[in-house]
Amino acid sequence: MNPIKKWLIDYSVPIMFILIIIFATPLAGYSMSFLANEIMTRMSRNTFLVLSLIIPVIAGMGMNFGIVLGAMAGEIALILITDWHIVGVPGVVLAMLISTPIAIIFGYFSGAILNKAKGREMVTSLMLGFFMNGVYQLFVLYGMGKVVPITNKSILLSRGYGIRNAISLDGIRQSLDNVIKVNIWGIQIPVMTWLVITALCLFIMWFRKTKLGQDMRTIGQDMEVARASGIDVDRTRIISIIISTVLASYGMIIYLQNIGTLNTYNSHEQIGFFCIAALLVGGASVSKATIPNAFIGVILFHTVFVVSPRAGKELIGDAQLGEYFRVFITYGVIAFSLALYAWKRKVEQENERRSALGLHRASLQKPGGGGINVEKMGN
Amino acid sequence: MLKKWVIRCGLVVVLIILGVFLYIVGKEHVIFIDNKDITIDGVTHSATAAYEIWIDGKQVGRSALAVGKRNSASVAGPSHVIELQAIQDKEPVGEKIVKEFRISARDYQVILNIPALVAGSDLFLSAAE
Repeated sequence: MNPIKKWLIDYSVPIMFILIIIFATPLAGYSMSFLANEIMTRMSRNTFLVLSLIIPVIAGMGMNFGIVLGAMAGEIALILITDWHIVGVPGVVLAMLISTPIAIIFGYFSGAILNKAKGREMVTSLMLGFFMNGVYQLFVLYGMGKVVPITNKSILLSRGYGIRNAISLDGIRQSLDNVIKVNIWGIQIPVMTWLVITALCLFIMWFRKTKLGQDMRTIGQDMEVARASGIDVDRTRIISIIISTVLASYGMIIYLQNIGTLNTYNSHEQIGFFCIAALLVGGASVSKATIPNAFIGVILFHTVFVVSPRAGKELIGDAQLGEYFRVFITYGVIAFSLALYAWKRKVEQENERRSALGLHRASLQKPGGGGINVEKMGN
Repeated sequence: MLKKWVIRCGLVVVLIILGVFLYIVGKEHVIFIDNKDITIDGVTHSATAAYEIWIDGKQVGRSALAVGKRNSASVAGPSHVIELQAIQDKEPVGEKIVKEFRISARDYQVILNIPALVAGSDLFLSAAE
């Protein structure tokens, strides 16, 4: 394939988003400082969650829609620290500490199921997210206050058990962001949150070089070859999902401490879709995702999110259209990327088949070649 | 193998200790500050003056707490410092009183009685119902 054509196909989603931004930003009419502040806030809020998707991609498990399970673990921990009245940075760190074992259990469960659905990991993890959402709601709506003691009346439903629809996280609101906050040209930069994100990037870079990381890459390239070379494929895949789920739980805590309100029953629902869409927008694919993909994706995806309602209002006169546009973009990007990936795979397989056939023919035509001389045999 | 398990168990213990530490350090307490008469062990401490109050360096309320009134402050962690300045005719009177106190991690709401504190009673702090 022509290299320019290949590049355009590989980066068609980011190119599409850049074009939308170029078109919609002047229409929205936001000032640059407002836009920069919004993007900085959204980047510090979302990047950790998006980065949590990278490790399962390395292991060849595609986009982990199961990060929703990690998000649920984070939310359970946040409900508990709100009940115990733990505030500030200790509250955030304690929530992370509490969510870790929950996320490990969820991750193990998710990984074990995905091992039974090899080759169909993405749709399985998507369904698993829906299933676990039901379990989570049952637990939070009936278990909390009955099985798990909750003493804080302000988060309990009036009947005495079950958690309210919305919980104020005032005690930890932006506590991590406000530890060190720097103002550069009018843009508020939450340095501490960025240090945490940087630490995760360094962890991912280091992890790729470890034995386990190399094993995951081998599994991602060819599971059978990995198994033949002595790698415990199932165990390694489970570990990759556990790491992703635990990181997602931390990401959800960072996300919610920034927002300051927990929508108990639906904060986690769209997280998987939004994070995966952001990563795909950054130029990642089901089989390849890097740290720059995550950053580029968050910037492009959230810029469109910020400008689209206002641009929609200016263009059509209805801001609601922009809201629909956001949802359309989220699902559209995922569908487009998956279709593109499937098409590329098909083309690659066809090219491989052709080149193999060409090699075979060449070997047949070579005098004294290893192949069977069909013509001679025919004569 | 045994060494591996010992390290893992040690790590779990360290994390539990860290969790307990974070619980104590991050626990929020609501302090109700009363400038009201109180009787402790048969001794009555009467509120006689209004006070400007600072807890951990932050002023409680915009103005002085009058006799018979209550105010509240939210703090995190076990150790705190209260500073009191008596106010008369909107002017500070006498020396500033500074007192360190601790709140148990089990108590979310506590009542701090100013007359008892000023009188030097150790029982100026009590758990709220």
